[in-house]
Amino acid sequence: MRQILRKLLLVAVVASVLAAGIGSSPSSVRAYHTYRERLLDDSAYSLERREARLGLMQMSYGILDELQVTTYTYPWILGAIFQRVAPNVELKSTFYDRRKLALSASVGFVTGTITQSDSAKLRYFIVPTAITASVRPTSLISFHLGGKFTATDFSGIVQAEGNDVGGAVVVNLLQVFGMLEWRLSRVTAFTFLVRWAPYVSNSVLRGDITIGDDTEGTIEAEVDTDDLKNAWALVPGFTFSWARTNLKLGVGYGDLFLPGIGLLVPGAFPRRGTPTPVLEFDIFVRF
Amino acid sequence: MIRSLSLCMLALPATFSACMPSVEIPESPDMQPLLSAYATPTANVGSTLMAEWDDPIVETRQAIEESALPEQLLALVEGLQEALHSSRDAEGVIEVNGHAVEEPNGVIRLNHVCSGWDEDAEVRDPNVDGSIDLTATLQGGSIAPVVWGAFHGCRWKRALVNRRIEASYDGEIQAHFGESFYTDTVVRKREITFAVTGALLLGGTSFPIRRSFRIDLDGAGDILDGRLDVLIETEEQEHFVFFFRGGLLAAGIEDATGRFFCSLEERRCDKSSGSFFW
Repeated sequence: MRQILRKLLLVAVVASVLAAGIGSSPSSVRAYHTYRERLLDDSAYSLERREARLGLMQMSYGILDELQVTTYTYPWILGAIFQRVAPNVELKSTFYDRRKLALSASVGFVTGTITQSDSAKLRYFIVPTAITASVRPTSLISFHLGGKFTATDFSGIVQAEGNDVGGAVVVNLLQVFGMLEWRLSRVTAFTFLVRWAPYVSNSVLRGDITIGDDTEGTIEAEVDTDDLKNAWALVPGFTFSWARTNLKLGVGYGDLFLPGIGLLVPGAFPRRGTPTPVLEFDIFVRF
Repeated sequence: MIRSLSLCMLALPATFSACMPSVEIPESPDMQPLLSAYATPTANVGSTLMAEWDDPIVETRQAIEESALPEQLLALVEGLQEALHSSRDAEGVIEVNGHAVEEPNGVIRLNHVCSGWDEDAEVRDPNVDGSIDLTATLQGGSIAPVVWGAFHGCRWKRALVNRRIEASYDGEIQAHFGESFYTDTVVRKREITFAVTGALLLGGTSFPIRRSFRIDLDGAGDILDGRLDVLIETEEQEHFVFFFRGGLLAAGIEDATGRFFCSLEERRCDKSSGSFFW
């Protein structure tokens, strides 16, 4: 308990430093919704070369004009609080950007370990890949459409001993998303985001069985993931872009799609599999 | 460079799509015809048939009971049940590395090195002691009724009342446990139907065996104390069941006319229509 409190304190300190950084951002801070400054989340746009985004949920940097690198902060923070840090990186390339159409592709990974007992750990590896298109029919309205495929692998570090079962579990899922962006002013943009997971593979287990000293074997099994199939979320929201700070805020309904890594958590209230209120939030600066 | 990188990113989902996780569950051997044969015998047994089948029936009984071949498979199945059971969480769901695997469908393949004839050996050698390959399938979290596999020169020692004999089996085996069973089901209380095709070696004597038999231990510790049914298929493609109860305490036949008792020592059966001898 004391260790968790200590980690929470560490996270609070990091968050404070981050907030201070946002408050005292450099004079070259870029803001306001303009032709050049476009929404980066769930769109085909990426940072330009040497441009950076520093935020509560993610930090990004433009390596080249069409290539940005991002790390999501919450896997690091949650990992620091509960078990181990979860290194994660995403590369996003806007490989086509003309007047009314932009296309991007991205790929990333998240990895980490979860300690289950003194002798057993679970290592996970998540690889999300996405393709996104952004269409600008007018200067005020944009449509963003995309698909994200996430492959996961959860495997035990400790081999099965005695009479035991050990192994790896994998599940793949595909989500598609669409977002309407309506620029109400140079500060305020209304967004309406729809997410849907049309395909979720069965959860597949491949493991080992050990029975005493003379018997060993393998187990391959699959489990229905019905509570994940056809998960959805409707999230209306606003993105505010002031002189220094950008704020993204959306409150919607449905299942929870974890930002960036493409995993989803089925709604659980009032019963498992029931859609629940979901929140999309970030505060960040671009410079 | 950016275009190439983007193309690689675009190719990744296709690559992942090509290796979607799935499990190929093998189809278990169809033992339904055998079960039907036990349930509805078609032969009408008389002196001629019994004169022909007397010796094979006795040999089969001796081979099965003295070798305790079913015990080798039962011990493996019970070990599997125990391994799965010990991997269950508080709610009874099988857990693998902390990941709950609820009501899985799948396949389990086991390889067992047999105990061998040298009881003092510290290490079992599959090349000497033989081995068993066994396959079981999972249906919604329970073990499907048919378990099958092969014995590869599997050797073990069988303790009888006043002696220990060396036994081995080389061949295929299929077992039907009646219906699906869970990790805590006592399979020894079930009626289990076997089909074996191979060679049984018992105390230096070889018994080629291609037979189906059914045991019901009813909790008994040894097959000698339980029930044994042997399915006989005649040359005319008809079949009947010869049964033993508690070893040789009682024996009899189930055929197309019904059930009646026999004495192998007296070479006599007592049908409702009258006794016959062979």
